[in-house]
Amino acid sequence: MYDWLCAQLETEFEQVKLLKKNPRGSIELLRHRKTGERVVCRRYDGSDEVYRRLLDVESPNLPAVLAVASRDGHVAALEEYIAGDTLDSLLRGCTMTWRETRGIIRGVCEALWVLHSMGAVHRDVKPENVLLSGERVVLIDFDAARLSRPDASADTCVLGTMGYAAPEQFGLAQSDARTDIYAVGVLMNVMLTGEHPSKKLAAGRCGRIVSRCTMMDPNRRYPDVRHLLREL
Amino acid sequence: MEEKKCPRCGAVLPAEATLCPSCMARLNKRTAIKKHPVGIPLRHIAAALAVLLAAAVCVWLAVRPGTYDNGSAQVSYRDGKTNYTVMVSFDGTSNGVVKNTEKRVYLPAGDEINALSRVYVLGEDGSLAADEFRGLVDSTELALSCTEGDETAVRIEEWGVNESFPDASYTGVLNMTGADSTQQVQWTLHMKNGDTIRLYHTLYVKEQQTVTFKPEDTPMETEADLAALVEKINTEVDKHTIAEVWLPAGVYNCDLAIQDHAFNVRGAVNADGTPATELRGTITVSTEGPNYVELENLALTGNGGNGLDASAAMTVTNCSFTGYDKAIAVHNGAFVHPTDCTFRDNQTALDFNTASFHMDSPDFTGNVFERNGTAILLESLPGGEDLDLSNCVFRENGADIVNHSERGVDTSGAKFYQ
Repeated sequence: MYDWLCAQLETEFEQVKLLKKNPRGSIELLRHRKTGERVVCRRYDGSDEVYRRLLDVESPNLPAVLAVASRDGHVAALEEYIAGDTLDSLLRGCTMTWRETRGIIRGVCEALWVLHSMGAVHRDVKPENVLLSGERVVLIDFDAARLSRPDASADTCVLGTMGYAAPEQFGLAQSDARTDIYAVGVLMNVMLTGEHPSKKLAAGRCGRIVSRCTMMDPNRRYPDVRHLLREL
Repeated sequence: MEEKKCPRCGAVLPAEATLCPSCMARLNKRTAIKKHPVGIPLRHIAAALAVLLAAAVCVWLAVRPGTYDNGSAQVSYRDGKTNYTVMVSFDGTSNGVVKNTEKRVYLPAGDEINALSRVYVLGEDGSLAADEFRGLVDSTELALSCTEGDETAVRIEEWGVNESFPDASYTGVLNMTGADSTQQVQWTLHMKNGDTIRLYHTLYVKEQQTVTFKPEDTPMETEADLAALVEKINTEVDKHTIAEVWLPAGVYNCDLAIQDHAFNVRGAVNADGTPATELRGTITVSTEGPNYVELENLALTGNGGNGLDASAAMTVTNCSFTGYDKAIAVHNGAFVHPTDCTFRDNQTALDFNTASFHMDSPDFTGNVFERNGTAILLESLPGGEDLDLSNCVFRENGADIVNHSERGVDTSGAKFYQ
């Protein structure tokens, strides 16, 4: 299946742009030769289990995953191309109001609710992985995502992004849904203040929400995104 | 590797493929995830409940669910700030509503027919508000109550939203047989706010009688006899009774007008089955009868003009038309349904120029078109089903089919000769 999909990507699609490339993999923007439809192709080394689960769901806050195949730890995933700006690009040199922040964070939480409901953890929530397209808020990039395994003692490898990664992602404990809540707290604070909460915490009630999201002990964070959504 | 085929383009794919790379068809079933409902903290809920409870009591006292029932076919209903006129009718038009609180149906014994009971809703500005009003309705009921005669003569086939009648909020199909019966049709609309609307209209079903005129008991040998018979039917036969006229073999040098009272005309046949009753003139049909008009076994011969000039719904079976400018001219509001007929040496055999009608049959089978200028001319003929020309023969016509209408024509079963 992996070989077949890779062969089809060569024959039926043409590359429009290489969006990203690093030692773990690449992200390409492709165009279907016959229909002209644009899609994003992710190739990376790791687990494909979350992409596979997303094949069967349709959410306005997640890109539609069209095809996934893997072999010997090499993963190829084809997903919907969404034209828009990453939150990262919008935050350069500025911050957002509470109203803007709340709307975007709600969209991120809706996406996380879908992932968490299927037992998955994103593990890399950050501005670069939040795409804004019109009224749509879309959480992308599940390369680091994995299924949560409560019986495991700690994450086997360090994934995620410094600053946004929760303490347990550095080998202190097994990551779970609360790991993403930590990252959402950091994200919210950065949107409001431009700084990590350890440097400058958002004022007032927003700051209290951020604080609870970013507790060192996962048990003291919001237990799930429903509770966070309720506070928002 | 197990394989499957793409349902859109037929490309061969691995069995587990979720996307067809050839045509980009999505092959797996996806579950749409709705937004997660956000809960509310308990303390907020408790406070809100107390306020809501008090408010609800006040509101309920002010706007308790009401019943709108004045025993008629129309009520005025107010939902919040909007007033609606809700009514039931057996008829409607494409551009508005015809209010009709009762319907009388005459049926020959053994026949059955459907009537459509419709619920129409008008908004404050008098325009139709079918969709808008349906959003306020929780459920509907349709019931029959027999007030006289055979209570089994009418039954409800189905009711609900009918896409074929978009102007109506709801329709109900009532199936009738020929037995005499009077039925009150009752609609009950249960509104989402607890209100109830009841509407009534009445359906009268009467068994239809038939009176037959045959040569052995009625003079009809001459043109004068035929004129007298038409006058007798017009003046003496009840308008809801079907009149059948069986003409003898022979020739009538006259026109025949079916205008005041619709009746069927059937001629005699030769040993080979061809019509033995000839009418040298024009038959004009311009009245709607209790049923459509039927012509059978007639040979119409002319010298120009129209053979059959139709402004009503009718069937024409085993008839021949020779020597006319237009053998059959179908005018607005009419529909003619010819089968097993012969059209020879006419300028135009069939000329349809009609925009609306109450009867429609796609069965145009078994007709012969020979040496006509144009065999079939469809200037205007609406309708969804293709005309079926199976077993029709087209021979030596100037033009076989000239179709300016939107109606499709199926010629796959027809034969064409030069």
